[in-house]
Amino acid sequence: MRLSRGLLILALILAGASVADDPDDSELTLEVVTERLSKFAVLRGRYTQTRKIALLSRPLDSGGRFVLSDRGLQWQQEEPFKSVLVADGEQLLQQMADGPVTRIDDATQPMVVSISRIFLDMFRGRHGDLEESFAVRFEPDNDAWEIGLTPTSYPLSEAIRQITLKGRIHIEQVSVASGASDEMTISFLDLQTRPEQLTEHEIEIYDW
Amino acid sequence: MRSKFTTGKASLIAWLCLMIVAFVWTASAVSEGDWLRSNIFNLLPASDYDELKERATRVVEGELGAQLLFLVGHADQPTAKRSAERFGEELGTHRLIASVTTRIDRDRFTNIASFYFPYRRQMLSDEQLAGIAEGADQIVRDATAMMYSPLAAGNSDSLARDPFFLLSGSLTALQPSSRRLRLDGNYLLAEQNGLNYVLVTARMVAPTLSIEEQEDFAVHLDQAMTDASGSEPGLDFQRTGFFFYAHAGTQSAKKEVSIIGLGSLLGLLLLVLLTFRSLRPLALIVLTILSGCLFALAITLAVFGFVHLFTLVFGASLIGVSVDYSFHYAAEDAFGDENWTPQKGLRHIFMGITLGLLTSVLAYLALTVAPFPGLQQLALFSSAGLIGAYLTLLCCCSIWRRRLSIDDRSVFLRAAGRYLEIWRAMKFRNRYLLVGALALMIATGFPMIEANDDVSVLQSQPENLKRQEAMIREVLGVDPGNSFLLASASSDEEVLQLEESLRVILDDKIEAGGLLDYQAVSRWVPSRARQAQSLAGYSKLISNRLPAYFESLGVSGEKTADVVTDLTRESRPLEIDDWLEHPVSDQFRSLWLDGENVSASIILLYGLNDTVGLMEALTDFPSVVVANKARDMSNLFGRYRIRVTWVLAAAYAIILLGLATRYGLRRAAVLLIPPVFAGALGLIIISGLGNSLNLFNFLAIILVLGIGIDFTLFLAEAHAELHVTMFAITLSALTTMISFGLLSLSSTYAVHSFGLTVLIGIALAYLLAPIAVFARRESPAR
Repeated sequence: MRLSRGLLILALILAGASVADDPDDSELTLEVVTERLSKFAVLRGRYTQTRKIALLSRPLDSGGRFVLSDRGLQWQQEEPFKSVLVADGEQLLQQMADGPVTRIDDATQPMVVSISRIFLDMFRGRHGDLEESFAVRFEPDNDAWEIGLTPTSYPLSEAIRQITLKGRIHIEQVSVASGASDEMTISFLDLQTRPEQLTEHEIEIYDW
Repeated sequence: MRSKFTTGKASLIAWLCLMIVAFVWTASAVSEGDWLRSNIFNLLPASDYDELKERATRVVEGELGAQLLFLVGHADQPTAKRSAERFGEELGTHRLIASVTTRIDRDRFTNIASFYFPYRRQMLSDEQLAGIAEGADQIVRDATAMMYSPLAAGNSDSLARDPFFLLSGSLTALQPSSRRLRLDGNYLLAEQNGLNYVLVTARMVAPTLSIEEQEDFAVHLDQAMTDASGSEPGLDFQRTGFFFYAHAGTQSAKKEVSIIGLGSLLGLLLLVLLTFRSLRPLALIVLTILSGCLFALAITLAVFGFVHLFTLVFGASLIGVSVDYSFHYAAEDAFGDENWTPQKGLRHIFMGITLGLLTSVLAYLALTVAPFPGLQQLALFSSAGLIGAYLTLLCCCSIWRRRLSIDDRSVFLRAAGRYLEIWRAMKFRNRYLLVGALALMIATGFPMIEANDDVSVLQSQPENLKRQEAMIREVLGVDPGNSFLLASASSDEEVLQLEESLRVILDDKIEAGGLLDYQAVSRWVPSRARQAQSLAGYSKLISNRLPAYFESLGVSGEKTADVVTDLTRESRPLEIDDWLEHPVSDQFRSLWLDGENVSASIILLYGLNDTVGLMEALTDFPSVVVANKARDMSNLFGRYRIRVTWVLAAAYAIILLGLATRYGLRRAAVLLIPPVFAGALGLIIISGLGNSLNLFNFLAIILVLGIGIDFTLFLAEAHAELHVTMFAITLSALTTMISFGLLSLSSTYAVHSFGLTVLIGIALAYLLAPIAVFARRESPAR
């Protein structure tokens, strides 16, 4: 549950990112957005993330890089400390600094992995499943657009109140609201679809 | 005696009254319904005399017996889900279905989480406690990563109450999760052979159903599957559950009843027509057998309240033994001189058939030594049936005034006569030699007999059901076997602690591959000792690690102090009753058994494949019972096979002594030679054919004794010419062999063993029967 929300966010981020790479299309629909996702072999970029939690006297800020390929998603946090998260639809791998790699698979957290699978499927253009789990609102407004997602089924609905994606030509921001007043916002920059080959370092992480 | 049977009318009226009473009784019992049963559980004995274990067995069988599992598969996932949904709805409309689960109850997770939330500090898993003992670095690292990761949870509330996010891990450890199933939009999905399968589970209102209910539900189920498949081509159904095996058993038993019944009847018809060229003996035979069956049914219903399908299949064949009586009477009739009357005929055969009845009933009653309710019912049914048939013959034979004639060229008559002559012509020395040679064969052959009491060999289950079960088992990743451990002690706390010690062993077994998984109450309600241990570990974690962790996140010192105080308080333990009374225990509540002075719980074992190894590992826990239905039954069958052997010996001895009062010991011993030798040689032959023997072979020998002794008694008691009696014996041996020969075609190995043994045993008993001639009081008439 906990992990899945993050994956969902990432899925949407990357969906938005691909849209951004194709500004010629004048009429944006969810279908157009998802269909183009399969066009890219590899997508890379930077992110900054801010988490507001009422109990904390200051927001938790973090930032780093991400990579999406047909082997899954890598979330490489650089600030305030190094950590890497990999999701490939079969399992989730997480490493803090140079510590041990934690593995979460179907046997330990079947729900989490199965939901992560849905979102990776979506990247590959199979958006039909998305509508099974969410009420999807897609609003193009001239050159800007907004996607609103409200979970319709348990257990997602328990973890997430509302997800909002905002963008113009490029994706600008993803917000995830949960609980009464907590919110997480992720912003993106420097999105690139080249080079199309994975670097040795990236392959090494996928191979964990 | 004579006056009783010569007043034909009076006895006929008495018989008619008896049959009317039997008919009315049976009809009223049948009209009340649920008189015919086919459930295997009704046949099986209580596997042990341990009352608690018996209760546990009933719980486990009841739980598993009422469960149905379906996988609805389609290449297209949404189609599979849609079809599963429709199928589940349709399935649930039947009155015998208590509940259907197609989608996971969304409230269940919430319920479990909210139930355990107050006790979260007492519910730490083994892994979490080990992590704390190692200094909790990993726990703090994971929690920190969680706070920063995009996958993070933790809002203000949960951060204050579960700062290291341990509840989710604790809950995951509660329930073993299937390796292959995944939750998808509330459906449980698995992929197999390129299809997406949705799991649909259902519970029936009861683990056992009457035959009508079975039939009714099977039709409904077929319709539901046909409807679903009809609207979605490419749909695949896999199913398993006790119901399907029970239903298949009923179907095959029904088929066998008609084959055996029809086959026996045709054989009889042919035999009578060939011999007497008249259907009258047949009418007498059918009348005696049908009356016998009616009588048997009435008595059985009066005693048991129901009759099992198995009893009908077997019992009808056993009552068929009563054709002997009719054949003897018919042979008397056919061979009697012109002064012959039914009364005279009856007098001639009276002693023979009465002794025959007594020995057969004795043999049938000997079947009751095995504590199988099925066999006890069978013994009662068959004994009552024989008595009914016997009375019918005595009372009704005088209905027919016209004489029978017999075809002198009848192949049976001539063969019987010739065969008897061979024996009578045999020189004294040769008779002893022959008997001596057979005795030697038995002495050498008997010790080489091998027995195998494994019940899994005895049950034959339809291939396609076994295949579907294997496939579902593979997809679910658990084996819904019915092995379990029974842990009992004098208090709840002791039982829970005992379970926890046992689980250490079970976890080792899982690790070693001897077990797939288990389900135990102490997972859901840890012992107080374990809860105290968990609470202590939690407090240590909070006191040692929380302040620095919270400071790094930016929580004020004041708030941190509040959280530390809150999370290191004492806590009320989670009690077994809290759990039992809450809906979260729905699925597993029945595993907890409350006794008068004892508490006990069942640990369900899934996929146990090393029973012996487990028992060895449990030698330190003498109070723990390892229950494995198949193994228990195999042991039981073995024990009773040995017991039946003793009963046989005792029966031989009793019959010997009984006969000795009439014939003297030496002649009585001669009379016993044919059935005794037939039984022993029969077992040796069957064993020699490459079969290992089981309880049912030995039970059959009891019948060989009961029927075989008839042959020798008839010969010893014959008033008419001996070849007439021999001829009658030939006919009855043939009919017995026809009906039991048909039983040996049964697809149920137990029934097959039984039928084959009787077939071979009776053939031998018949062939050896002329030995009885040497025990006649007067020297033979010719």
